[in-house]
Amino acid sequence: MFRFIHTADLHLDAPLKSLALKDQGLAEIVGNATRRALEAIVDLCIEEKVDALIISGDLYDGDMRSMKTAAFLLSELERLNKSGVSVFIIKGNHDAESVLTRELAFPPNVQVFSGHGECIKIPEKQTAIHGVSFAKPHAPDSLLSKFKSPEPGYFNVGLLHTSLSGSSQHDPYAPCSIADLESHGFDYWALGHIHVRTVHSKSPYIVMPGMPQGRDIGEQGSKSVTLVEFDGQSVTIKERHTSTVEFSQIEVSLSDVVEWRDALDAIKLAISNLVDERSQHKIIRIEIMGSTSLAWKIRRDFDLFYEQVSGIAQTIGSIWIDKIVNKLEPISIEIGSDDARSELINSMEGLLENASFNLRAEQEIEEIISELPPEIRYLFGEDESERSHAIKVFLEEGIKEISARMLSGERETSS
Amino acid sequence: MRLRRLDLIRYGHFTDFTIDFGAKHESDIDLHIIYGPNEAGKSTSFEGFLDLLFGIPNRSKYNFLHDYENMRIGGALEIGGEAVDLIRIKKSKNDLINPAGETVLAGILASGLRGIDRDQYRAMFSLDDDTIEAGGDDILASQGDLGELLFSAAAGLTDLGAVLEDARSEVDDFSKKRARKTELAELKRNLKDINDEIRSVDIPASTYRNLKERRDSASKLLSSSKILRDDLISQKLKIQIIIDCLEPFDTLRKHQSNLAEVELYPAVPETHLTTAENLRISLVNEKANLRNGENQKTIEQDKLRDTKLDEAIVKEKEVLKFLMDVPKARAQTALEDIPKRELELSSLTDDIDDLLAGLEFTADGFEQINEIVLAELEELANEYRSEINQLSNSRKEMSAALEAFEDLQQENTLQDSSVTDPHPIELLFKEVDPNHLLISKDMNSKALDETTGSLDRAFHDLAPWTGTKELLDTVKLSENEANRFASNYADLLDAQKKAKASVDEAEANYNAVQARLDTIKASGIADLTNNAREIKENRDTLWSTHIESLSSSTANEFEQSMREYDLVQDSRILASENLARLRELEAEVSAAEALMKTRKQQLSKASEEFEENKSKMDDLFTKLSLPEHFDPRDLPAWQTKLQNAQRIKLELKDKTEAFKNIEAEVNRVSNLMTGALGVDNGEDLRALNNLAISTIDSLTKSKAKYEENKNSVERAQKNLTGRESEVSDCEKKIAAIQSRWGAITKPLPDGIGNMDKFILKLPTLRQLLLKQNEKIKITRRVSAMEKDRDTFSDQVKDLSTKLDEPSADEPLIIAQKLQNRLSNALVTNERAKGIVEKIKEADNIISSANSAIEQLENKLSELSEPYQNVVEINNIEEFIDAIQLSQKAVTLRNEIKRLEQLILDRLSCEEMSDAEDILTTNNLLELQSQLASISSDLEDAESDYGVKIGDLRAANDALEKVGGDSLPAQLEEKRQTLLADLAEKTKKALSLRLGVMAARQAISSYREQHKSGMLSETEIAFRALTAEKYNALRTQTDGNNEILLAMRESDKRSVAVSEMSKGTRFQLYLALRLAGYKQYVSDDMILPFVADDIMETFDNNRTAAALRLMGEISNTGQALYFTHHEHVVGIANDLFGTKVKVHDLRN
Repeated sequence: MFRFIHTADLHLDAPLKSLALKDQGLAEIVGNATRRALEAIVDLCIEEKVDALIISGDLYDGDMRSMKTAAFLLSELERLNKSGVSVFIIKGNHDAESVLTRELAFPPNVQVFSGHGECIKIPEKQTAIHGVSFAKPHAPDSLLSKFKSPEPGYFNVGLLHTSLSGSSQHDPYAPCSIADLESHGFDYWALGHIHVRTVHSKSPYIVMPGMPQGRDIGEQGSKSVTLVEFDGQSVTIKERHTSTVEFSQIEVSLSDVVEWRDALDAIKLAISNLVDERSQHKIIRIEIMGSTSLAWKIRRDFDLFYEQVSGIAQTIGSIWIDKIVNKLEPISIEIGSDDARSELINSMEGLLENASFNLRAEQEIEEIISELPPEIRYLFGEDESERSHAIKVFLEEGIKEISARMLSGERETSS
Repeated sequence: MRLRRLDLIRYGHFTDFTIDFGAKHESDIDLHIIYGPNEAGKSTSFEGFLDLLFGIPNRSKYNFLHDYENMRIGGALEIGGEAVDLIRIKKSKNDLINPAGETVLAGILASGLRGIDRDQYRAMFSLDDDTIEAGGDDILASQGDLGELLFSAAAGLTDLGAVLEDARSEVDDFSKKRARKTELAELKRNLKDINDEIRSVDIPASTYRNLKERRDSASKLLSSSKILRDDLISQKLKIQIIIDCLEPFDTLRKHQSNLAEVELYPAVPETHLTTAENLRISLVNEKANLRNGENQKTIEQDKLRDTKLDEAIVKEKEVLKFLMDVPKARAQTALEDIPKRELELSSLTDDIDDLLAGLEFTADGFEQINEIVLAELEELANEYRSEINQLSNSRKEMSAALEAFEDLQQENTLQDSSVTDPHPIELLFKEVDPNHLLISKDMNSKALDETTGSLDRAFHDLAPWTGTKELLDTVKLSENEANRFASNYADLLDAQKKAKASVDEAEANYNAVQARLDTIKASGIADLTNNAREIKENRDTLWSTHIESLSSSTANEFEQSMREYDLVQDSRILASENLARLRELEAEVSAAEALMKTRKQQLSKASEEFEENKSKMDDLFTKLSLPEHFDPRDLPAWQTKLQNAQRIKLELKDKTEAFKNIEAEVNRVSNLMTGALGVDNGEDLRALNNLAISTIDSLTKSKAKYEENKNSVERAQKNLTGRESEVSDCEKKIAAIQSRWGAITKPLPDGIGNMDKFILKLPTLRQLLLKQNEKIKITRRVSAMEKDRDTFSDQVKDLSTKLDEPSADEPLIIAQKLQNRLSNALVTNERAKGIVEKIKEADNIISSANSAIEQLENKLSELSEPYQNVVEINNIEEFIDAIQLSQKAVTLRNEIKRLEQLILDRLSCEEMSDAEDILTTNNLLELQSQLASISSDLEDAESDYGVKIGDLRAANDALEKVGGDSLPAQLEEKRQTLLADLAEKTKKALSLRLGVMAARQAISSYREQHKSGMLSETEIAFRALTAEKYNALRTQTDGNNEILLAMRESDKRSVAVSEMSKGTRFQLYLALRLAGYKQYVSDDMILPFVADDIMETFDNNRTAAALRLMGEISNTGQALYFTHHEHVVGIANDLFGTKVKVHDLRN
């Protein structure tokens, strides 16, 4: 019987990125979630009394330089050491780049595989662990050739950090195909690199465990590790959730909603449907869409709307709003409508294609962008075409915003 | 779109209320004033109109009377020139229906509204006080920017200027050139702070590596410093050991030389010294005891010799003890007290003599009086005095009662015997009741008046009757007759009407059928037949021609004619149906004609019958004195009235009769009362009645008074008898008291006197009794004390004689002297006994000391045995010296051994000879100088070692400090959040900035587009509204903007909006709005313009101007003006006459 936890892509101390964290309370509750995830994994190892923890690369981000991160990692590995759990680690692209790796002295229960490929046998468990680390941040060629042949009569586990079947020309992360992996003769391929959990094959098992904690809205859903059990004959796997905070994105249509309160109710319903038990906290992004007479009013009184939605989310559960993306459209005005308002809006929209106006707009915003911290300037276009696209987007948004303010009638005051 | 009618079916407080604006006529203006006081429903009507157009909102406030399910708002709207009846109900879908309840597609309204929504409608096509005020303010906010003004007015906005201004300042708040306090600057500062903090708390890998290197080098330096230090320490130790051994070596040598002197003294047990010491102490003690015993004995023997004893007084000890107790105390008291008591006695005797003299008593016989006798006499005297008082009072009351009785008796004899007989008026009142009679008369008179009035009214109700009241009885018409006449007349009238209607119907039917017949006839069915024949012939001819030639042209011609013929044939088949219809219609026409004739005949018959009845009626009316035009159908009602009048007339007659009877009775009673009261004739009954009542009243009072006096006389007599018996009782009691007094006082001295005097003397008597008793008590006491004194004196004298004591002194002094002598004798006896005891004790001490000394000296010689050949020992001191020298020898030997071992150990030598070599070759001074130099080196080495340890510890600490805490990670997370926030806010600010730019650009385009049209319209309106105070508008270019200025008539100046008064700005806004509306409706688009009391602040002239403008609007559009001011209605009527339509919400 050999049991282990398989994880990868911990990205320790990589910050969570969400505007929801502006709430100091939330920041305190869910801050350093990647650390919480590692703690949860170690707890799980001890609780489940597993033989080993396998980490298939990317312990931390490549640019991570704080020895405090390393110290934390060591303290957790030390906990495993005390509980007699072995740890097998391969370096991923991020780890290869990291300066932390070089400075670390791991406790004796930890084995870090080299870039040449090694096999560590555990005769009493009839298990052989094979692993190849990334020697450099990029590995344009398959690393499969560096693995030895399976050990006969042993349960063979292979640790590989790979982007799988990407084209070798464009993908620098040890590309290889599922078929190659299948034919190598190992019993379990413990992969890493891709942040979404996928079980690619069951015979042999080829498992991409996904990351144990998502960091932004791009890494949605509850995250987990994989508990693997080899009873001498067959292999079984189970998913175990580890994320303390979960990112989700929902779309809410407000088409034909006429009253403010009804809009809030629709959102409340959508949020309620999200509630489950997996992660303690949820950070959600809500995209409101559809065509409604409320479009202008919501846009103008967006701060109020946001506050009310936040309030609703928090009353439903430990749910926090990352952002509300407003894609609402006003009820379309009939073509040929000739009142002053339509005329003005048409006139403003005409400016989108007006070259001289666009030039002026560019000058106008350049002033602000030049004042921004360099870290975020890229968000406003890095070259000319990106910049002019950004201006169009801002102008479009600005026209909607100002139209809303000019034309949306009475201010919303009720809740 | 135009509003023709608004139906507030079930809406707000309205139920089935309609405001009908009617159709618009070409020549009319379409201005409507909807007038109603506050709360009449003006705003409800406007909201209802909007609900009709746009639907009832989910949460409507107009459901307080009619709930959502029943709410209905309807109206007639003119859309595209056609009127449509629509109803809006409260439903989420399909809420627009027609009067039949069928769903109507909302699109029907959309085309009329051109996509304008509810809010927009409210903004663009309605005005009220608030919007005008806000509009005026916005003019100021826009700073006269023409583009903004024109656009605001056309779009119905009231805060455009402020919106643009706010947006711009929001952008500026985020970021503005050269401003430090922007949000962006603040966020950047925060970002920098976080970066700094991260730098300060984080330990990057490179720093970690440096720390490790530093630790390793510190560790190396520490070990080399340690080696140096340890070497010095060992050197220092060696020298220190030699130095330390020099002193014990010296001592060793001294000990060896000392030992030589006492080498011969034998070793004795250590306890010997203690034993010797104890022996010495015992000897000293015993010798001291011996000396003490001898001294004590000598002293006590001397004392005994000096002691003298008094045995005589000791023998009389008990006698003296008795005498000095009670007898001595009594003698002493007597000696002190007797003179005082004798003084008291003499004073008492004087007092008693005085009191006896005051009472005029002689001393003899006074002994008979004691307290008991006095108390009895006192009681009798008091009783006597109270009875005497009682007697005097009773006598006084008796004489008063007698007097009262006599007075009352006399008074009652004065009473008139007349009070007992009845008065004539009392007798009369038993028969008649004038009061009741008067009430009856009043009631009858009132009833008579009422009936007369009723008759007048009933007579009046009979109109148009032409008869007089007198004739009323003669008119005869029963209820049945009246009903019969009326119903007969009504039936005939109805029959005639129905006959007329039948004739009309028959005529209409005839005309319709005839018309259809004419139509079919006009279609020319007959011609068709003729025509068909010609075409057939032509076809046959062409067929023949074609048979002959068989060419394509003939074939074509034939085909053409065939087609024509087919066509005709088709027509004929069709026409044959019409022909059949023609025949049917001709039959229907003749039937309709016949029916029409019959109906006309029926009508003329009905008319004849009616006329016949009419003449009968006329005769009846003449008989009843009713005019000819009276409608017979009113007869039953009139008959009821007639019957009523006749009944009242009869009633009046009865009442008149009754009244007369009452008047006769009044006269009779008056005469009777005049007689009884004895007054002159001529008083009326009411006055007589009053006089009679007062006479009877005074009689009753006189009788009551007589009765009361009679009772008083009886009571007085009873009282008098009571008093007389009281007097006689008192007199009896006094006599008894006097006889008792005589019996008691007989044996007493005469000075007692009578009862009155006795009372006066009583206090003195009591005092006398008291003094007498006291005198007896004191006399007895004095004699007892004299006896005590004398007994004591005798006894003392006897004793003094017996003891040879001089007896010249007072007995008390002698007794005291004897007492003292006894005490002294007793003390001396005790002392002598003690001295004998002590002499015995001293003898015992001397003998025991002598035997102890002997034993001790034997022990000493026994112990001194071992020193026989060493030294001579004569006494205990010499023995102790010898023992001490033995002990010294032992100590020296031990010390020498110890020191030798110490030196060997320290120097690590085996033999003492080696050690002696070392210690004798090294000089202390040299050694000390070496030690000083090494110590100094060692100090340096120690300090260096300390520094190195510190260095290593610091290096280790620094390394260990790199804990796994998450502060840098937390800060990084915070930094990322801040960056995201910054990016988000920047995007928003940029959008808003571009939005404002676009809006300004678009507004300026709008201005260019509409300036010419709207500005002149506005100018006209503004001129009118300001009563030509401002007569023109012009613009002035200011950079990219154009500013509106107004020409003021009074000073011919161009005035900017900021210089205008608030009211003028309202008027400018109104003018702009009206121009905006005209701009809109001119484009083939009408929507009702609704204003709600916008002229609150206007004077009459301006109100008229505004109304004129509204009128002008209504030339092309429709204008609804809601007001609660009646004068506005008046002004509108003056301006437009009947052209303006006023709708009153109160109806």
